Amino acid sequence: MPSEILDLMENALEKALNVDFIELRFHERRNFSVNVKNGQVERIINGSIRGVCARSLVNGCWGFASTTNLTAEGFASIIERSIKAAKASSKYKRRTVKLEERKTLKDEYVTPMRKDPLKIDVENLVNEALEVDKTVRNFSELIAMDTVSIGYVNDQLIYVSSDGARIRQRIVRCSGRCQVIAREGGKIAMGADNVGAQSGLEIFDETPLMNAGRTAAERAVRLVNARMPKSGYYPVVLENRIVGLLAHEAVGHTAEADLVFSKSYLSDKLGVKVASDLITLVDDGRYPRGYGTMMYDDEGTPTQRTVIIENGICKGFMHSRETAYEFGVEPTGNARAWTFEYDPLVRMRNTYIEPGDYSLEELIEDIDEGYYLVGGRSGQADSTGEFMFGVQEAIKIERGKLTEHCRGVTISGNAFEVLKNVDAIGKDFVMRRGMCGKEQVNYVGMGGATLRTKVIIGGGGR
Amino acid sequence: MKEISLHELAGKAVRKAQNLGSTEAEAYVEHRRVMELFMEREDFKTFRMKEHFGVGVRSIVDKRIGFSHISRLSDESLEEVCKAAFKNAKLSPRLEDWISLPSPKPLPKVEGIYDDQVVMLDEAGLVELAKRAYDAVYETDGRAHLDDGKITVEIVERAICNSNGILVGDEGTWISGYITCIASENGEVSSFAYTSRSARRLVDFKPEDIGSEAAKLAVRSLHPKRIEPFKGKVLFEWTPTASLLLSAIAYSVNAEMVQRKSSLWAGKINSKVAVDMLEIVDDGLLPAGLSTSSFDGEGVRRQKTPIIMSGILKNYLYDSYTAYKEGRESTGNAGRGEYSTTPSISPSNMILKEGGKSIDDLILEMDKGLLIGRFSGNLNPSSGIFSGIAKQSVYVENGEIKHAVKETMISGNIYQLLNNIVEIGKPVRPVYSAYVPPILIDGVNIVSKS
Repeated sequence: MPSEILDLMENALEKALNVDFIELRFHERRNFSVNVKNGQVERIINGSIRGVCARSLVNGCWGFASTTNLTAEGFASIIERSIKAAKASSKYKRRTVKLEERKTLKDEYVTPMRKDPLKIDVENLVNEALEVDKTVRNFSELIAMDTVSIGYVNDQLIYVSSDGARIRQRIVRCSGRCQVIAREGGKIAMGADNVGAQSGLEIFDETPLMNAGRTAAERAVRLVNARMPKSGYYPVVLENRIVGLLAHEAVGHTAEADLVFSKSYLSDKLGVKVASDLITLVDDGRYPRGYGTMMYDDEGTPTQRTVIIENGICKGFMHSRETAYEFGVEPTGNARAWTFEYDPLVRMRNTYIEPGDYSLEELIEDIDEGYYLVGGRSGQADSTGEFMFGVQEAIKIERGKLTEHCRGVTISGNAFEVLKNVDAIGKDFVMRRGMCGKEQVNYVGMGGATLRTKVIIGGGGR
Repeated sequence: MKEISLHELAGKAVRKAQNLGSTEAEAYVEHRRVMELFMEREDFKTFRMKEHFGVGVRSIVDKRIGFSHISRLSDESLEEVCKAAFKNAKLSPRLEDWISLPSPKPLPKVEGIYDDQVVMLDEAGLVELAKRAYDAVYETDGRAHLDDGKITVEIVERAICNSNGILVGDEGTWISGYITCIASENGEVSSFAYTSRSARRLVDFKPEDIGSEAAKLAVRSLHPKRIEPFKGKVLFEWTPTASLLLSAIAYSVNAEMVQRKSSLWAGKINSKVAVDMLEIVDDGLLPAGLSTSSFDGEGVRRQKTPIIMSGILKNYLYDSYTAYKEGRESTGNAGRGEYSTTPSISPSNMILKEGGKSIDDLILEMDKGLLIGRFSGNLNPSSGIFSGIAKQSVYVENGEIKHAVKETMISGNIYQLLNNIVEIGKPVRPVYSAYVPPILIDGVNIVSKS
């Protein structure tokens, strides 16, 4: 299949005339997932989407077209329509798009894995989900509802461009999630946890979904009768598993070249101190098993380890070929597209804060009154550096000791104030998986080690 | 011609699934055409033209349910997707409370879901619409500029067939857009201000409104100041009313959440859940409504369902599975995003009845409070607890807007706040697919750094 497609793509490319540049991307996504709710298999789904897109640069304007028709006529039609689209938008186009040079390679990449989900019978995944569900429901009588899901996504990508790049990538991502709702009388609480990585099915042996199920169930039950934390500005310890949210939401977005252009907080801070000396923040396109790892981005540019902040100093931004040209730098391999129905935007890959050498006890013992925040929920960033993300549980710290477990809240602050206030980082680095929504969604990795700083807690009154 | 062929394809898939041994089967076939202009960094970025076909098949084998989807409609692809759905059904344990797929009923007539003007829009026409939205940003206020935005035209043809005799199809049009703005003045940069609008007909779509409202919101959030924390009145504009109130309500009236006891409104039909003035209906037949169609994602006829009348909970929203479990009829609320998703309960056009006062009138009634343009935070819809940042929000004192606020969060419990509604404003506007007015609520925690 891929070699036939590659032939069709190369033939089509030869016939594309009168363009400054053109690229074709083939994308097949096969997915499988099992969803269990309260002991019932709610659905077993597998699917296959397959399509191709053309992006043409004509007189400095982009045009894009996609189709699920994978015949020679289908290819010809998207090329024609992409050129037509580029011409239509040229009427009001202000900047002339130019692309920074990049290595044009012919290469192939496959996710390293031991248990290829396309070669193994996935029946086990159904049993695994049912077992986790059973354990969770038996955990406590207070559990009202649980949802367990497990599955994989297999992406086959082929990229060809008029400047000679020929890239084939097969990327496999496995993930599982468990969400639990506990109820007692009129009180309801929730716990959730997930596992996953760019990997074969062996990831479920190494990080069993059962552990995520237990974490979620314990948390939901523990919080049913818990109070809200007090609202206000507090010293906090952020659990390693949510530090990646800080790296991604609070800082990462402000270093994406399109937002830098829109005068984001980091826009005039290259070479300037923006965080505590302890902070080194990286967006790495090749982090082993990272959920956002690709050897090449969706413009065929080799990915790299891009340092955003080094020892507190802003060092660089994330770029596509287009923004790299405008900024006069190398493209960093951050141009990513969700499916064949989207053209690539500047996106993060695996964003993390490098670890330090503290233990959790050391991080907590110096706090007189504050919170240890655990379990992540979704978040959002702003151009100003103001960010928010949810935490599932806030454990009170009093005179250096963990005391009361409180319900989850949303925390916020200005990213760079929060980063300046980081005075200690732990050694317990973890990389987690996540999804990021911009104009389109994408898979990302988020990582970090437990750290200490100050944030605003949007709790239940003072 | 095409519509006939989508019907035929759906029928063919159902027969194939039955031939494989499915006791029941359903096929959802879709043809989607999209034309959109994506804007970024104060410029047009990419003009996109997309087209796809796809089919999703549910196979039921002795109360076991499997699903599969594929983006190709050849005979071999239909065979492949039916086999996969059948295999998945066999892998599933029996769903003991499964009754059956729905059966055909006469469908209601709906108006305004297809517009020739939208279909006839060409590339140049879309470019002009985007330009009008774009220009409105800069004409509204010189301090505002566009960060990103998009104008999208969608034409979706679909057909649903099941083994109980349902065979329905339609074609709908949508035109929608969003713009995110940032304002800057004296070296200070505002937060992201986001506005979106959608319509089914070209005549109802005003691109200028998107640009000018986003610009106004961005400018409004310039030069923010910190405020002292307090508990008091907030006036939710349209977007936060939809994202907080309506999404919590949509969760709690979802029959699946009710049956699983994860809705706080389980067992509360005919109980008081809100102030007397609150009235909410779910109207799948609203003329030109964003979610209007004569049938839902399972081919069941849509209807108008009262949700809350005079503050009293009247109905939950059902698909056929949850309805049959209780021996009742579906309310036609099986939602379906695309062919690649299985049907699941969702509101159609959920409409909160407007009151008599405009935003300006409501501001006059506030002694001390916040006017909230956007809520950026988290809501737990089962407990109702929410907390998050008040974006594009301004501090109001003695009926007067004073200044934008910064590092200010709000928190509370939606289900308690439904009893603290002071006033419902006007007009109603569509946000996502909810139809909401602004709402003035008391007793919200306003949290800040000081």
